[in-house]
Amino acid sequence: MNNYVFSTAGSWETTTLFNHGQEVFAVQLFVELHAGRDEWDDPVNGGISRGGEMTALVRPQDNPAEEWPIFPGRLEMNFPGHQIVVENTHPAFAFEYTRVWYNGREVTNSIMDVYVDINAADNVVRAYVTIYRDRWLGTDEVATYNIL
Amino acid sequence: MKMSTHLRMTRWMRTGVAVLLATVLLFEGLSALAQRRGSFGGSSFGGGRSFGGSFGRSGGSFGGSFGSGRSFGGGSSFGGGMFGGSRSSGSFGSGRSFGGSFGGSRSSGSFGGSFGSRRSNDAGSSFGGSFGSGRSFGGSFGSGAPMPGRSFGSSGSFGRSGSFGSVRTATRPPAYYGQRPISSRTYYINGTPYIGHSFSFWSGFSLGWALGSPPWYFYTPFSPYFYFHRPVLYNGELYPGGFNWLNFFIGLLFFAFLIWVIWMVFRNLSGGGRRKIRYTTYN
Repeated sequence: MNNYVFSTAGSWETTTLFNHGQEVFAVQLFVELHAGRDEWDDPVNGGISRGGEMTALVRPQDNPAEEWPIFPGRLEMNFPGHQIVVENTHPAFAFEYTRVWYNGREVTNSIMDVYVDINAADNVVRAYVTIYRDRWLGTDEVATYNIL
Repeated sequence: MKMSTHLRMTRWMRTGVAVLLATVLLFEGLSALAQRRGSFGGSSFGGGRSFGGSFGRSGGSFGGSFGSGRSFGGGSSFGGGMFGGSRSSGSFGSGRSFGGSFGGSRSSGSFGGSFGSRRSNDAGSSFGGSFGSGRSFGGSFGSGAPMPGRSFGSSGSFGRSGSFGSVRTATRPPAYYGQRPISSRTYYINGTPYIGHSFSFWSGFSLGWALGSPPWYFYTPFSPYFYFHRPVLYNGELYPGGFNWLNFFIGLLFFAFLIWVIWMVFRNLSGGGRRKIRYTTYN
């Protein structure tokens, strides 16, 4: 089971990826999670429990065409001012076993999107998180936090 | 942090409603204060003159007794001096009151009232008092009207009994004055009988304030009495106070808010229907 830790301070020099404490030389870290939507693809509260899909992979430097799956396992991503942790320890990578934390708070039941694309080969850097905020009084909110 | 225009508008609306509510409550408070004739401990009923202070309009004895004079007559002023006035056991009425409030020598008795070192023989006025060792007859609690020399005014000053009573006194004839009532009945206010005139079905909601101490729910928008002014005492008779438009609008706001809250809770609990969703982006 993997235990990846990705960290960046905002530049390529400060970007690292470790797996079980051992540095992994990769050209791309890609995570895409979509959840919290109804049958019409409209946002609803519930997060992972509403079902969804997730893609999470690492492309190693020595063979960029290869894709290493991250899950089952745990992925911690540290950005300046943000932290995302995604965990799925189910042996078959069943989606409903996914848990997500954002900045230390578990958002498993309200997460809608996690998108992280760190691609050194194409010099692409993008990361955001979307969370559904259910409110008793007032309008519900779909909040997107742009990280990178 | 970037927020949508919708969010900003909602916040402005919430702030606006809060300011509106605060303004309405402030107005209500001021009007209530003004109606209490004498406000802080002043006599709110009875109409007796009290040369003592009057923090609001006339009638309010502001408290304790200055001077060393005596005061006769007494009478009732429902509420008598309170703010500062010493309120010891004592002479509601025309009995003697020894001592005074402000530094008075003996405190058994004097009900506080009054300023000045003058005498007064007027029934209904309350001054005199005793700053020192003078005696004060009658004291300030009291006065007024119907039965000179007696004092009503129960004990309290704040609250529903006594000075902040449930009726208002009027110096001008009320709107209904001179008209023929459809019914009249006797209302006992702190033990004193007053004739109250009813001029329509709605009059009862105003005169109802004079039926003993108004219960707490009279002050809530759920009670119809909330929407009517307290009765007016004029010439020893009670007249309906009329419709309270301010409270009416307060009630409207209150129920609108209540309905909104219920609707929102129901909508969220049921989960039915298409919910409005606000999309925001934080950078």
